[in-house]
Amino acid sequence: MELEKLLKKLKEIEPSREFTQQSKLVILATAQNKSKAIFDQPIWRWGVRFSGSLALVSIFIILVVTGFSIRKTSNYDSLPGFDIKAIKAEAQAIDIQIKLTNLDYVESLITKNPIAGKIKTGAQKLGGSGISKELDAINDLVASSTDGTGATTTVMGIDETLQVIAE
Amino acid sequence: MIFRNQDNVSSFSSVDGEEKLIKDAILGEASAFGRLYDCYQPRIYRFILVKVDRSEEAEDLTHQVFLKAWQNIADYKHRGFPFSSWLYRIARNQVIDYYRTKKAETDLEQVDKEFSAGPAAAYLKFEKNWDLERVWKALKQLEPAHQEVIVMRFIDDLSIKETAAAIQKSQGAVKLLQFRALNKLREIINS
Repeated sequence: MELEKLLKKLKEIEPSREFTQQSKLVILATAQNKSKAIFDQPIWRWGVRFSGSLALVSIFIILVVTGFSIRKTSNYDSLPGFDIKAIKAEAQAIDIQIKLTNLDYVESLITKNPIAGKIKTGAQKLGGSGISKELDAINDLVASSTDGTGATTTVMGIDETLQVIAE
Repeated sequence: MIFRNQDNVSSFSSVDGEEKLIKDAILGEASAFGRLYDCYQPRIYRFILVKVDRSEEAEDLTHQVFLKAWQNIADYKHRGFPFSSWLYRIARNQVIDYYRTKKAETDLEQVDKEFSAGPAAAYLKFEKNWDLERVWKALKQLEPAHQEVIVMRFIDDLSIKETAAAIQKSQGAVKLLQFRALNKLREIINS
């Protein structure tokens, strides 16, 4: 007889009926483990998702509020080696240096091109009403030092220009 | 243990409306699980009987398998494989646990004489079908992986895919195991 056919015949092996009946009764009388099943319910999944979102939003709000309050209440003076006055003075010095650089730039423009309108436009691009006023003063100076043909005859130095502006 | 005539054997295909029965069983409906039990219990019993020496042990282990299945059916997730694959996996683990515990607890002086006689002592009443008895004894001498594949593929008619899912191996590995197991079985029978 073929081996496969003999193997098929082995499926006729079964446990005794008494055992089957008794085992089934005992098993079905036993309580199921519900713990995991409960957490698999859709309501639980929804609850977990909702509370997760809520937690994330809360953390975000706390971070924002805390950030603002820290910024508001922070006292830089208490930091070691932090001198606010020195920093302010330094910042002002930088500002002046920038203005002087701009002035130097404008001066070079005047040397190359005496047309006041162009200078003014350039100055406006640089920004600041203060610079515009200074430029107007420079223009006046340039006009006073220009002969009838329109050619520039003299160019003032930066120190002289600053003195004029100061006056 | 009973060796029934083919006419009396219950259907070996999966139970009708299996998914519905599983859902009902998950919800705690005992009758639904009862139907699953009726369908799969003989298969699991045979699967275990090949691996242990006595039918009483096989019955105990089968009971444990279905008890675990009933208690933990809420954890069962249908992933395209039949319910039987899940049961076979529980049965495999149950047999492994059984041998692990047995090895730890066995005292050589208390070993049952029937056990010491080896697998041949655990016989079935094959109603003078000597060929069948020879095949059964040969089957018990195979290594566990070969036994599993032979039982699932040739006795319980599981597909390659189902067998692969049950023993957690690839389909290619199952084909290879099947080929080797059949050769080994023939070798033992003819020796």
